[in-house]
Amino acid sequence: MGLAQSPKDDLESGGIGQRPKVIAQTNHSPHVTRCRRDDERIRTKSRLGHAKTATDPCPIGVHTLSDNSRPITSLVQIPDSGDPFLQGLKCKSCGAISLKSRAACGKCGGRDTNEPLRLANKGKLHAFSIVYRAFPGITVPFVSAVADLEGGGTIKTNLIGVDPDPEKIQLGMDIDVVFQVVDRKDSEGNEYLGYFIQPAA
Amino acid sequence: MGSEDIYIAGIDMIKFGKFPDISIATLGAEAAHLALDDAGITINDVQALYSGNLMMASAMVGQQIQKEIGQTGIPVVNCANACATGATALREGWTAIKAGLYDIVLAVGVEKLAGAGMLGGGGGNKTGISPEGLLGSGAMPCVFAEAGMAHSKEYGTSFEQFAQIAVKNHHHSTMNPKARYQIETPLEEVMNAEMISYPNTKLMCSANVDGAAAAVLMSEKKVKELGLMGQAVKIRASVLTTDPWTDRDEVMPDINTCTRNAAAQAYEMAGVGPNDLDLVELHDCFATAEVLHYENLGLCADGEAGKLIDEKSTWLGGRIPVNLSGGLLSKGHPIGATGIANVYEVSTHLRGGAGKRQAEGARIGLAHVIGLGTCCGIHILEGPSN
Ligand SMILES: [Zn+2]
Repeated sequence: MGLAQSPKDDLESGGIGQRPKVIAQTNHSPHVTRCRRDDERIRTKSRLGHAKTATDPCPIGVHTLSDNSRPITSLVQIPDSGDPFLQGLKCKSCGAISLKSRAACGKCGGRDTNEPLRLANKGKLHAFSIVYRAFPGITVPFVSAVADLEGGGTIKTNLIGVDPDPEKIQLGMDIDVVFQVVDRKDSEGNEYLGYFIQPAA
Repeated sequence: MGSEDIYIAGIDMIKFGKFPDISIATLGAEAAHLALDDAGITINDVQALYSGNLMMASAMVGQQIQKEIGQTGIPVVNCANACATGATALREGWTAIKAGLYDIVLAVGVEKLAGAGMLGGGGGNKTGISPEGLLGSGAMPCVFAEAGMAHSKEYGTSFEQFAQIAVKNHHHSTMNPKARYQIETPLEEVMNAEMISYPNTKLMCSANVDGAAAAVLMSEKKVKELGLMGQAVKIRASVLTTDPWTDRDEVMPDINTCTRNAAAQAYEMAGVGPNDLDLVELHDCFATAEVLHYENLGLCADGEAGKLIDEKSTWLGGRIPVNLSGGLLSKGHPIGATGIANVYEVSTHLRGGAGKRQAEGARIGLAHVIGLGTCCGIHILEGPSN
């Protein structure tokens, strides 16, 4: 149905139309493998007020946390031992579950009512979009998704482990939360541990 | 609060487009003059000016406009409220007359947005790395696509149904000489256009344009005194809400609850229901959003938006025509002007002056905008009785 002029042709000049080259996907293991050398452990304080640690690079597994691996957001907790997990907040007054600390509870306004809450690694896909046009430097297409976690809490992240094809993504399907070091570093070369969702195993 | 009704005594907009060589003050002044002329008054009659602009919120745009149209020394208030900026400016004027401070105020909304990127939002943290593209996308086409897909999950709304919104609004715009575009876009073309963020293709995203719109608001006493009752549009309701706490709000801006709350308040204030409406201009920043607002505004029952689309009920001539202007998709979305331009469209129909796209016999209409972050503005308007 080609038209001589299509609406919004001029938007192409917006400067965000460039598609960065697609970075080859490696076969990521769903869970981060990490080892720990206590003497070199680095301990910092997260925004949620809980200690987190990261360790030196370790040769075991596909993904390892180097001594400067950091949580991608305050939601990610990296414990001394065991797997990383997501930690939100739950208001002990009204039960609202939130993802980041606030001056008071967003639902009831209660002060000092928020307690840390470990979020589940399982949930259901609530919504998604397949993103084709992104800011420069971002690999497309990718699937942006929203998932409701078992026991409460809703997260948004990339849905991985599926083709970016609407026919192959089932709304409401069971998902698992997985952790991976992301292939993006900050200006100091620090690497970050991200969280993603994928169809339940 | 005063019991007197408040009226839109004059209102107009410039044709939306791309005006790289015209300043924002000049665009705003043009719309202001059109509205003053429509009301048959001058800047010397205006007691306060409410200016809406988002992208230059620190630039005193209201005063810049004032310097173009006459520095009479009246109070100027600059408003910024995301995509509800224009509606907020208009409502601030309404509030001041309602409080009894003034009898005549001018509200102007203006934005220069042509050539702006389509994505908006997104971006990243000031420290660490940007999570954009890792933790999903905060870009607007994606945010509103996800909102639409949540509707799909609940009710099975299809890509084709979402796309039909763009077909309709582009069709309506062919009858609106003030719209940015007047081009038919058949379904196949909409669905095959560049996919921006599934299910929103490029033709299902609002058009970034330059634009301005303005309205003269008057107390009932002043409208009668100036003999303007024959053209004055009564503001039956003016409502502004924000997003109350909802469980997914932190990762999925909730455009539904604030709209539902605003609609309930507006219907109550106006003493009408959705079945009394003859037309609606709603915030179709993306095609997916329009579908949600059919239900949010009560134009149909929950889960029946798809049916409303299939039955073409929201087309010109349908049971409840929506976005006869062409909507943000084709008329264009100059953010600060949008909320007043929507009121202009509804008012024009209520005054019987919409030409080929006229909603026949329109008496009551609703104008709705959403600003992400989040807020919702709704105005319910009633046309002159003669
Ligand atoms: Zn609470």
